Amino acid sequence: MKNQRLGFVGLGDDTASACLSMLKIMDGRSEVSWSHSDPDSADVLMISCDQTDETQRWARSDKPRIVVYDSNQKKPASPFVLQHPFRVMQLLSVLDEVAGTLALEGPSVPQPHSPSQGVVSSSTVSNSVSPFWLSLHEVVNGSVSNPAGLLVSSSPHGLLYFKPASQRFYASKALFRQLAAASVELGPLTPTTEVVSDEMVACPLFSLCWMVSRYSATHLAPWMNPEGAFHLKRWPSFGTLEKSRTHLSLCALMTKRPLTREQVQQVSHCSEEELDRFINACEMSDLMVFEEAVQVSLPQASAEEGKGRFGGLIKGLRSRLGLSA
Amino acid sequence: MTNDEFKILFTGPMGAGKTTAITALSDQECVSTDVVNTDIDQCDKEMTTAALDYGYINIPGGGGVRLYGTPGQERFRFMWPILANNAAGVIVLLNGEHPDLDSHLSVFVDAFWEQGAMPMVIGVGRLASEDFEVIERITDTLLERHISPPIFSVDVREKDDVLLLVEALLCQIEVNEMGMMQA
Ligand SMILES: Nc1nc2c(ncn2[C@@H]2O[C@H](COP(=O)(O)OP(=O)(O)OP(=O)(O)O)[C@@H](O)[C@H]2O)c(=O)[nH]1
Ligand SMILES: [Mg+2]
Repeated sequence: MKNQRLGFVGLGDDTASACLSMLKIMDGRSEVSWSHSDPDSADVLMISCDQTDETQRWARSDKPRIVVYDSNQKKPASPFVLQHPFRVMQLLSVLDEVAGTLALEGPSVPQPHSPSQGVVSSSTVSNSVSPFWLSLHEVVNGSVSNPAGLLVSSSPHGLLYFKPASQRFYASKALFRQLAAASVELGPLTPTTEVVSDEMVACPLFSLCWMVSRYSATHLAPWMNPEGAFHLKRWPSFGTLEKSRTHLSLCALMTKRPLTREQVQQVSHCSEEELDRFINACEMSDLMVFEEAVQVSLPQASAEEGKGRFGGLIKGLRSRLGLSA
Repeated sequence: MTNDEFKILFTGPMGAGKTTAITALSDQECVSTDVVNTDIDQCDKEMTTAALDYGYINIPGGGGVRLYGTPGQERFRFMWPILANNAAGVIVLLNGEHPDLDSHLSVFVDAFWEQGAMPMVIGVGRLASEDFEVIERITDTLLERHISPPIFSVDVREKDDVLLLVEALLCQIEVNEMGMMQA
């Protein structure tokens, strides 16, 4: 596979990090393997359409450029453009187009493939997710050759197995305890021919996603549109999900109708991080439906408490029963 | 029922814990119409509720919540619509160990689901703490019939578990209220 380097110029941190996460997701799906480099050594530039000294300087270079513009900006007159926020498939398609023109211009220099080059560790990037989370995303979206087989992720506390066919994780009780209690560094899932040992216990997909999302995916995963509307197919199982009012009301709200993150927050008073984590875990367990066009309006009065037929009574009942206000 | 009251209904088969749950919540001694159980085959316990359970929670500042429990035996089924009339929501209690769990599921959930119009919570008792398979099976069975209420593993002898069911119901009632205001 050919290697090409992509450099960023003038892009916001969020855009750049979303893009890096997407490159990681795309790895192996495109004709070309893309990695990140500084603009100087890049084959292709991804450049903001904002006019700054930096972008103008790079606009004069003869490297192919993908111009990134915002939805409220005019579409630039450039052969390769990308409207922000963009999704994996859009990025993939524009990169394939650019790669096509590079191929016409002559063979690119083969580069030794260095996987670490294109991936930025999750701690340095605000909305990227961990390598484990990315690999699980690939697996649940069907990019494993043998779904009946077994995959394994390694951690300092032992191995974690995943069986895509039954959507079950297997590990020692001790590892599950660790995963629930503390941050555990999990490597990406890779196919294995080993078998699950008898002492290991099973854990359903959602439960594991919920545990791991706490330190693996606290910002909306880059493959979801942050502006979209989210609709929960059904209530997740509360085995590991804390039975707090926040979670119960998130489920009640989001199963009822599609809502944007902003709308959910307005009504539920859930923090952004908690909501993103919840969406990430539900999405990974195939519990989330997305709607791109947001035409759902939020009933105005509903955000205020104590309204409606039972509003005041519910408040009173909660305080009477000692349920948190 | 006056405007400052609402009704929560508890239903489920014999011995699932309706009387126990209502007693845990109610201010006064729950008014039960328990009689000696003559149907030991269905459920091995001394007493069973013949007509209904009734409890009441006073809300400081006025109003209250009426708690009704349906009789578990199916021969009292004629009571269900009467009790369900005007309920704000229904809590279905099931015995996770019972061999007839699947038929209980269809009898009690189907009777009260009302195409999702009635806020519903299912509490499944007598499951081992790490047993998620029964809950998963119930979830899948109901999903096939496009029924998707929240389902919890509970022990109704623990008041906190009963409160969890109530809270999950209240959250849904609140969301339904929003819908009502939008219309
Ligand atoms: N071991 C165990 N016992 C339980 C559990 N949940 C309920 N019970 C017991 O089961 C019995 C339930 O009895 P009731 O509360 O009378 O049940 P009911 O639903 O009112 O039954 P009917 O009135 O006959 O329809 C009580 O003795 C509870 O203590 C559980 O999770 N584990
Ligand atoms: Mg009873």
